Amino acid sequence: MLFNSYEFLLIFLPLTAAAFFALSAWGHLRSAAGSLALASIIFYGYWSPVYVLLLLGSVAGNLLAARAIVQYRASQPPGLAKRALTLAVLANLCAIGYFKYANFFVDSLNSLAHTNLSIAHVVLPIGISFFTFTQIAYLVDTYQGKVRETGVMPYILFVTYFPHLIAGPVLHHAEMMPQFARNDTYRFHLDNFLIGSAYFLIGLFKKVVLADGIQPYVAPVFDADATYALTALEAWGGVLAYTLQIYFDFSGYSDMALGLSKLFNVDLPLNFDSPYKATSITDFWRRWHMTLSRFLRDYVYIPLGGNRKGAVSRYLNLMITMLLGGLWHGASWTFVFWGGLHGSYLMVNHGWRALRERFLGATRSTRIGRLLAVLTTFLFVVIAWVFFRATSLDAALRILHGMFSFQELVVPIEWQPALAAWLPADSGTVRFSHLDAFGGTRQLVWIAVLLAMAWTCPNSQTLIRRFRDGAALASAKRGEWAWFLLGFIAVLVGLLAVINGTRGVSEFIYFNF
Amino acid sequence: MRKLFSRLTWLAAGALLALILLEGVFRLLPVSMGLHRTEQFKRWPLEAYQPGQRYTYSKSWQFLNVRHGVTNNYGHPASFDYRQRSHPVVVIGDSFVESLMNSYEDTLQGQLGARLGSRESVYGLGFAGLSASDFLALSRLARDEFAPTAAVFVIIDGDFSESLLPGLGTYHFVPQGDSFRLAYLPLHGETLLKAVRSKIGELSFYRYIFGNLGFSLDSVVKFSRTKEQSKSERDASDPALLRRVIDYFLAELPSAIGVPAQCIAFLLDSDRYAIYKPESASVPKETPEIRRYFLDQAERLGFAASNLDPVFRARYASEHAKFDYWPNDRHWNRTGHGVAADEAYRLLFGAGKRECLPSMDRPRANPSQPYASP
Repeated sequence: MLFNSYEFLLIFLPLTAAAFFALSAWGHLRSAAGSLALASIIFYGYWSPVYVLLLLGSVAGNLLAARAIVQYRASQPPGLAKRALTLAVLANLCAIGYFKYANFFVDSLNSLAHTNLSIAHVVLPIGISFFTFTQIAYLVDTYQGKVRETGVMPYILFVTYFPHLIAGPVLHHAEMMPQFARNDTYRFHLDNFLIGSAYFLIGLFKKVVLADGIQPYVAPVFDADATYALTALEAWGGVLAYTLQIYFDFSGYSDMALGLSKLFNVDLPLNFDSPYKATSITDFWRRWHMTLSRFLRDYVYIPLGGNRKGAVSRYLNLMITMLLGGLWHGASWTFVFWGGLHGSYLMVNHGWRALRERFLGATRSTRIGRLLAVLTTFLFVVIAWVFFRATSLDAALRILHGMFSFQELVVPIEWQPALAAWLPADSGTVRFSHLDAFGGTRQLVWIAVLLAMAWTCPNSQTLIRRFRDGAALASAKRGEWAWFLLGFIAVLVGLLAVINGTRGVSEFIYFNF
Repeated sequence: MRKLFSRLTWLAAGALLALILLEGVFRLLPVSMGLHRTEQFKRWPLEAYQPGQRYTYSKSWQFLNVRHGVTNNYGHPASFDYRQRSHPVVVIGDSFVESLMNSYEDTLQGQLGARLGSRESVYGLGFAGLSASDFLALSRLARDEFAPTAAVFVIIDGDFSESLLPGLGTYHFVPQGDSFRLAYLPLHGETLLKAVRSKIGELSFYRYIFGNLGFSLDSVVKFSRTKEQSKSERDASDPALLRRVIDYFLAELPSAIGVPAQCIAFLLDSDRYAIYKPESASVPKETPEIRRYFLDQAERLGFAASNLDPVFRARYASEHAKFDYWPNDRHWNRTGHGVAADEAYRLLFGAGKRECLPSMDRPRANPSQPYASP
């Protein structure tokens, strides 16, 4: 079930909210929590009922393992707790290894060893990366004695809670389970409902209008026939379109998840902070998919040693972390390569910073310097997205070849009347032709508008902060205004849902991970 | 209770303000509106929309292919008025011929007129959603009104199967023994609901939702099919019945349009997306066998017929230009209409063929005298 579908907006969400707040109002707080957990399981099962068993099995298994670890830590020699942890983590890795990576391993083995092994195609259970790794983190923290909240219902909700279950954000138990355990969560808060609705509206707008609006210009480039020679205009057009699509799609999804959760008085962590405004790759990873970056830092990079064992070890740890981060996204060498590219970017970034500090000291960057830094960072992020979206490494290299083919400027034939005076076709460097993978002026306008938005507009949390402050200022008749704004938002959500519904199914990109 | 009422009032007020603002915004945008179907149902689809209407056409949520125009005296989006008994070439079809997404000069009828040296010698008679049964009804009306010298029919996938499905305000074939009869299902009469709907229909926001987006309640709530609907749909995919429909259509057409078979050209559209990218092929409503049967029968009976698929393929291989608004709209663009116009010209007037030439001022001895069926 998609957040932007009629069945979610017209049936699932109203029923879930009604049941939750009705049970809460009658004082049945545990039942209210139970209704939310049940709704989350139905939400998951709507995609494929069979995999509900996998989800529930994973939750039950990990909960039991955590209990055992706690017990062994308290009463047994520490070695037993460690063994329980290792076993539980291995079980999780085996599950995800089978469902997500089995085909990839077999295919890779076949191509490396020229064997002909085969296994049945394994369907990837939706959201498995999210619910597996958050639970591994829980187990590790349990072993390290960092877990405070151990209630069963808060744990079930922490894992299955529908706003984050399918595509994140990647949650941490310490920020979620206490929220499910506190009584105040089980009350209707008009302010939270309003803020949640506003977040949801912004996210829906990003998805339905911005991401889906530019999406048609992506596939003609990335799915182009191998024999088709992409021109620079086509390749850049498609790659920039994807760069913007993935940002507005995923940040839109995250905003919707945040908003939905806020309706139920539960705060999810922020996942994006204007990543394309980043002035370095390090800065980019502080702003892009922030919850995954945090997870990789806390559960991969730091356990590997982080920066504690010298520069070489630090660079190696960075590379390993980013390679695993790439592999987390999908079972394909393109993702590994994407992770590797970002790993090398980070190494260069840290190296450059060290050199700069050594030779120039702590200098302040100028405005032009910052602008150049933003553009340079953006360029390298864009190049890396080619590998992220491409169907194979060969396809990625073909697109990159197109992007940097400047020997001849091929311009759409439709532009010839307007450009003929400035670009003489007989000059040898300019050619007018039909471009299969380029959407003309409309595509350029889309790219320009979305780039301007990504670079200059305030992000969702800034907008919401202003909205909340504005709403607080109008506090003379605050309750009435809140209901008024809810009515206003409901119409806009309805319009966006209809636009989405009449276009057919439009999944979120991160559903694949 | 009072509190609840107050909240609901504020909620409704907020919703109302949003609707008013949206209406204001959409009035500034090129929402598809202005075309109202003719009230003269007995003359429909010869008279398509109300005459002399200013309209704006655009497609999809993001206002693609924006066109502005005025309907002519017969309610068609043509840049000139049609004249009675003027012996034109008529071009008949559905939205492909209506062609709201193209300027008139770029349409099949516009380009064919240009090739003939007189744009007013070719009349476009298209209306979105027409099928073979409507073509037959329209042919009779066109014969009596214009006495054409030749006719071009644009045949799209589904034109025969859909002609068996009853639809409000359209004609359909009803099997009758070995033959068929044409039946018309009238639109609802003058009711208060219609009056209200017509008022709401003037709102840009409403037109955007139902026109540009093509929203229908069916997409939200899946209504169960009635037994009659299910039976009609089953019948419409029966190959034997479809062959009979084709036979009946071809047998009736010359007398219906008042033009001999050799002056009637059929242009069979193809799935052009499949030419650009095989994986983009759509699932056909009618099988290739039915398509083949139609072409064979048409040729056997002396009609001029062209399967546009190989023509499009050859042109795409040599020029790589697309024939439609891929990937947003399957309707032909200027290039697609140009290919069709070339084919229509070749079939009807190629190799010095003169008997089908339009004769705008030529009086016919008895224009309504039907030609014998082949």
